[in-house]
Amino acid sequence: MTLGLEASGLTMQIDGTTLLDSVALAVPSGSVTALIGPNGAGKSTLIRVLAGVTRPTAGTVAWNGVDLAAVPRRDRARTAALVEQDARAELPMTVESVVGLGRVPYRAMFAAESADELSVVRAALAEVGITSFARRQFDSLSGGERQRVHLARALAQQPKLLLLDEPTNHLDVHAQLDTLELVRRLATRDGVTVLAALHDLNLAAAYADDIVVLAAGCVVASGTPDQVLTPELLREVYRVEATVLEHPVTGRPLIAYSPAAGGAARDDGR
Amino acid sequence: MRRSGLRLVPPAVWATLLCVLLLLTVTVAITIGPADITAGDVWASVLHHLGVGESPLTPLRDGIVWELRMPRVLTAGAVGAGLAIAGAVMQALTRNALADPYLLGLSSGASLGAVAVLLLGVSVLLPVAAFAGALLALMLTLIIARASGIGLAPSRTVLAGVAVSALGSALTSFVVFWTATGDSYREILSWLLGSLAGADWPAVAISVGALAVVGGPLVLAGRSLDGFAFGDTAAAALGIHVDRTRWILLVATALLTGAMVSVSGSIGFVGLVLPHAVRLVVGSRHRVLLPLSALVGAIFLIWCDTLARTLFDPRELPVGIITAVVGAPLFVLLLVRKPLS
Repeated sequence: MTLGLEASGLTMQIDGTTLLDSVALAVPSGSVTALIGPNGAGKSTLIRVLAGVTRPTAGTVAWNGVDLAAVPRRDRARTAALVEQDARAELPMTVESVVGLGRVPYRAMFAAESADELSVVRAALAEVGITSFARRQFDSLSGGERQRVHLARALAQQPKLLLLDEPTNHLDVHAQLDTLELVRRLATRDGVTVLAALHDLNLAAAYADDIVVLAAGCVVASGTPDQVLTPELLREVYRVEATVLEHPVTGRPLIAYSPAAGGAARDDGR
Repeated sequence: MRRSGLRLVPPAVWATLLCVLLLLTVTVAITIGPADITAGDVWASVLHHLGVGESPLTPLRDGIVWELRMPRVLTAGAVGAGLAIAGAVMQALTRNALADPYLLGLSSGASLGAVAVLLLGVSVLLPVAAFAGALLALMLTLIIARASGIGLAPSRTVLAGVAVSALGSALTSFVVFWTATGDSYREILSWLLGSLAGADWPAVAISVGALAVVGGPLVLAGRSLDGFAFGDTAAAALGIHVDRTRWILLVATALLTGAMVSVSGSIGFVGLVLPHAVRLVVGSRHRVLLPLSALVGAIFLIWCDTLARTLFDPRELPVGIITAVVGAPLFVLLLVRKPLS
C-alpha cells in the first residue's frame, strides 16, 4: 500500500492574495519528499494546510485515501506531526515537557497522566539523541538543539506523516546532516512518510526520494532529484546559473552555483 | 543548585505539604485578632457547627469565630486560589507572562459591574454583573490589543489592559463617589484595592462555589492548556480546537474573576506573581501548575488579609496594599532573574 499523502487542487487565498494556486502533490507512503522553492513561494502555507492547521480555500488533502478534513482533530494529530520553523515558548519549559506535548493528542481532556506517556517521551528523546538534556530549560538551548527538541516532540506524537518546515534552518553542517539522516531513517526503518521544506538544494538532492518545486504558489516541477534539478529549472525558479554535477560518493545531483558576474541574475534582482 | 534541588521534589509531595499548610493557615489565621482564641477553640467551634459536640466558647466568642473570622478566612482562601488559577490560565492562553486578571483590566471591569448593580440596588445580581464587567473588559482589552497588528503581542496586550483598567477604575470611583453617602472614599478604596472586610457566609458560598464550579474544570483542562505553549499553529497541530478552547477558557476565567471580585474588590499581584513562582519550582505542566498555584494563592491571600486586618488594628488596610507590597518586589525579582519576553 503506497497511497500516502495526496493533495489536489489546494488553493489558498487571504484578502484577495493567492498564496497557493491549485497545488497537487503526492508523497508515497514511507518516502521522503523535499519541498523546495524561493522565499515567499508558499512552502510554509502549504505545509500548514497539509497538516490540517489551516483550512484551504479549495482543494483536498487525503491520507491513505481518506480526506483529512473529515478526520477528527485528535486522530489527525496522531497521524500527522508538524515541526514549525523556530517555534518558541513564552513561558519557561523543560525539554522533557516540550517533548511531552507530543502526547497531547493521546490524552483525554480530563484524564490522568498515563504510564506509557513517559516511556514514549524517553524513546523520542533517545531517538533524536537528546536524552542528556531532558531536564534543561528549552530557552537555554541553541537553535539547533531546539530544532531537535521539536523533532523529538513530533516523534512523541508517533506520527505516520511528518511535515517539517525548514528543519535544517540555523543548524551547522553536522546538525543538518544529522537531522536529515534521522528523517531518512524514520522513513526507511519505520515507514514514516515525510515532507520537508528545504532551502538547501544539495541537501534535498542528497536525502529526498522526490522533490516538489513550488514557485509563487504553484507546483512548477516534481519528480526525482535527477529529473527536477536541472540548470533550466534553477534559472527559471531561482534566477541563478548553476551546473548540475554528479556527487562523487552518492551519485546524486550536486549543484555548483556560478557567480553571477555581470549576468542576468543580478540585474533581475534589482 | 537549590532550584534544581527543589525541582526534584515530586508534585504530589508539594500538594500534600501545601494542603497541610493551608489547613494550618486557616486555623491559625482565625485565632489571630483582638479576642483571645486558641486553635482548639476554632476546631471545637467548627465541630459544634457541623453538629458534633458542644462549643466551649461563649456565644459572643463563638460568633467571632463562626460568623466573622471563619467566613472571612475561607473567602480569602477561595479568592486567592481563584485569582491564581485565573492568572495562570490567562498566561498560558495569551502566551504572555504578564497576563493576569488585574493587569488586563478584568478586575476593574468586574468592580465596575459590581458597583453599577449596587447603584441600582439589586445586589442579588452582584456576581453576574461582576462577571459581565470582567468579560466586557477582557473583550475590550483583546480587541484593542489586536486592532493595530497581527496576533496578541505581549506588550500591546498589557498596554491595552492598562488602559481598560484605568478606565474601569475611574468609572468605578465615579459611581461610588456619586452614590455613596458618607464614607465613600473607604468604599472606593475597597473596590479598587480590594477588601475582605465584608466577607460573610454568602460571600463564602459565591467564592467557594465559583472555585468549585469554574476553577475545578479549569484545573482539569490543564492538559489542553499545555498545547498552547508554542502558539496557535502548534496547538492546532496537536489536535486542539484552538478558537473554541481559547474562548471557553477565557470566558471561564472572566467568570471566575467576576465571582471573586464581587466579594473582594480587585486585588492585584495574586494572579500575576504566584503562578510564576510556582512554575519556577514545579515546571509548566498545567495539571500540576494550576492546583499548586491555587493552594499557594489561598495561603498567600489568607496571610495578606490577616496582616491587613491586624497590622493597624483597629483600622483596616485594603488587602491589595499588602499584596502589592509583597507581590511587586517578587515580580521585580522574577523580571530580573529571567527576561519575560
